[in-house]
Amino acid sequence: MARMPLQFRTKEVFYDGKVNILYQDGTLARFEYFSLRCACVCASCVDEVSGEKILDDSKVAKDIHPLDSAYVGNYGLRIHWSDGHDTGIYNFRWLRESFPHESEKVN
Amino acid sequence: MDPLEQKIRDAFSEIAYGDTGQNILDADVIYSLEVNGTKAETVLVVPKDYESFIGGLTKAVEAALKSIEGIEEVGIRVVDSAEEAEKPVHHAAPPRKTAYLEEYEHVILVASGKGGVGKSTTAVNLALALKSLGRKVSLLDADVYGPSIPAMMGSRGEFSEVIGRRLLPLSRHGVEFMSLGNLVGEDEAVVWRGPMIHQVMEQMLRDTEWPGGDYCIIDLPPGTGDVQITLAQLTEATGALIVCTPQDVALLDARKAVKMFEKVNIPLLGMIENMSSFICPRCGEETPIFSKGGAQAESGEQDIPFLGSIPIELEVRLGGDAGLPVVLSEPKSASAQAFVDIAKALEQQLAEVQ
Repeated sequence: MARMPLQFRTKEVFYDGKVNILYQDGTLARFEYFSLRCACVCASCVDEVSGEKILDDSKVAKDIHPLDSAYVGNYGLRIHWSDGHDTGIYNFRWLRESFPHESEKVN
Repeated sequence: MDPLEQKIRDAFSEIAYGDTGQNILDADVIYSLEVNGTKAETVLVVPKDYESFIGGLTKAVEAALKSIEGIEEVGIRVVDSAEEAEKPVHHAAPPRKTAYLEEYEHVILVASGKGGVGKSTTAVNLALALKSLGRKVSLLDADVYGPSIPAMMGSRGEFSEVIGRRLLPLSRHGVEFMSLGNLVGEDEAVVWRGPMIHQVMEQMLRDTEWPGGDYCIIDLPPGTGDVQITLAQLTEATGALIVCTPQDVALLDARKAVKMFEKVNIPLLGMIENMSSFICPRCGEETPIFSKGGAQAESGEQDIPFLGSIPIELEVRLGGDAGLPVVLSEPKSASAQAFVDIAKALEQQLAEVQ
């Protein structure tokens, strides 16, 4: 990997009822709020040592949504959710490679 | 009916609902439409069975709305049922940018898999080589466990000035730099847990009066630990350079560093082989003490550009110890030349990445 592949770099992120991530290669990936919140990988949602999930999905409100968010370095997104949770970092590469989403080519 | 609504209805009645023979008004596709100023926002209901129409429909609706005088912006949301349309949509502002060192065109991390491969020597000489090419360069010593930039830049025992909450970088040879070694006493061992490391790094990034410029070169501690993670999170690094010696063991560790940078989306700009071979100061003969070419072979295997090798020369060590790095003290030496060539190779890499 001489350079960071374009498909993991992001051009833009916006929210319109879903998390929209526009990657540098022109692919727009759309992620559901609810399933993203349930997939949080931070230490209070997933046991750091065993990898076991601590978060109970049934306790997550169906209308969970982001209040605020920030880019993390080159690689991720930290979302402050409406339930007050804000410690998870979503890795752009992981989202694209391993997390279910719909996507389309926009340019 | 107001004239705008009539115009929109007329335009929509021309749009076919796929091949159903109906237009979109008769087919009840338009759930709602609002015009605020010059922006029209509409919600379309298209059941799952007809989802193949969506692409064509949204284009046609957008074109129809934009053709109406007074409407410049169009927002379209497509849902598969009226119940779905009634649910509130939660928008949020786009993510904030929180990275530090944004006043630099490029932030370059100098890393190594293990210690003792000459990472700091490389960082300092690379900074000065870039400076000699006419660039404006700063240097950040992120090796909080064993800061060696003060010795190499000739600022041992000096302290960075603190004005209020701002730290002023020191300056030598035309390069501004910040090091923990110029903030705490030299004999004070840094015995800190991760969270403390994170805090101190953030303080150096945030509170330093960085002058800005073309490059901020960051000298990392060896390995893959807290400082690396902190910098990956708090800066938008342009890329990383991996310094290693030619031996297999060093290369094995370098591979781990490569993996780490991939995880955090930091491009690998190149590998540098240090202590490539010994050049005898008496006869000029080259002896590959630690072998030679290992890093070049490895970079080929990993598909990382190879930027060059630096020979073992007495002048490099002398320059480092004296606080006058070899690029300045012996600019004609083989190693000084190697550093300048590496700086040029780096700039070429950056031009290609852009």
